[in-house]
Amino acid sequence: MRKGGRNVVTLIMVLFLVLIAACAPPPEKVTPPPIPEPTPKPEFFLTVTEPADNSIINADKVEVRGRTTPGAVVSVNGELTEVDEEGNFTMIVVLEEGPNIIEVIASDLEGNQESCVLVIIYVP
Amino acid sequence: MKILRTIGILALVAGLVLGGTGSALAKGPPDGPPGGPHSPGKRGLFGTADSAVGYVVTLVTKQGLTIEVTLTDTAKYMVPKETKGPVDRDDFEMILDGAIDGDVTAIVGKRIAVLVTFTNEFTADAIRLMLIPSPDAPPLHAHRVGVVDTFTPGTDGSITIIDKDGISHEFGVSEDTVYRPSAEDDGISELTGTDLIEAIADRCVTVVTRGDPKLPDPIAKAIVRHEELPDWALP
Repeated sequence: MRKGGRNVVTLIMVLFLVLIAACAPPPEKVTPPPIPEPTPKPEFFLTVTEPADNSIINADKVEVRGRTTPGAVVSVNGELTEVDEEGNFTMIVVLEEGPNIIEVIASDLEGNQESCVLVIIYVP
Repeated sequence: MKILRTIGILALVAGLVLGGTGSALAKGPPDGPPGGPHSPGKRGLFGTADSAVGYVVTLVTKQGLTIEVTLTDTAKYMVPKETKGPVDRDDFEMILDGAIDGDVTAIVGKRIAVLVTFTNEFTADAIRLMLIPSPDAPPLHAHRVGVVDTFTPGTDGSITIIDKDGISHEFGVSEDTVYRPSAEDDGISELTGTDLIEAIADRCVTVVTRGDPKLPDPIAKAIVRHEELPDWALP
């Protein structure tokens, strides 16, 4: 009789443990932290916004404005100009009477290079 | 009542005149003739040479107008990728077809920018004319990036750099060559002699050259020193 009682107690304990295991919330799936995808390097670019190509200018100076990849080296007619952190640059170019050529070149350390040639006419 | 009507008409006319003047001033002189008789004074034209007889070139402008432009012997001529500055008509002829014979038909088909004075409704005399370079023409300036191999500053100096493909490029250096850092100014532009050599030696630089860098001995107009070596230059 004593042995039967012990078996009952053991059975109850086993059932109790099974019940707890069944009621317990499922273990959270451990997902590995996402591996950040390498952000592709922006393609090297150069845009000259001012002046417009083939424009007629009435002043003897013109402001050349544009944007390129940040960190690029920019020259306007061979003169270096500053490029800000966002890649913007600006430079004043003194014009000769009549047709003028404006050549903007941007380059980076990887050897990428873009250029833009504008022709404008200064009419005094 | 009649007085009020007169004042109203006058105000309307004045408004129209002032409004028209304002917009005309804001736009500046138009590119090319508007279609009517041309006011005296200088005008700028862009177009393509359609034909040429003697020194008279028929120019078709961007707006589709046909103007006869005389290439006068007092005008200045520019061929940006071929000459450094303006040349006279004889030199221009030589550049066009290799002969001074009063014939400039070699200009036909070329794009032109020209400052003119109109002599009649559709005829003008050139004051300054430029042949617009074709997109595949060599550049007036260029940048070349590389690691400094040899460097001698000053008059008749030179700099040799090795680019990312391992190719060596030599440039002339003169007293006018400008030295700049790529980032904040660190006084490199003030350095001379040995100090400058030490500042430049074995560093990565961008050389800004005048003229086609593929031609022998182009002159370095500016040298930009970079703070770090790019990946391709690391040992």
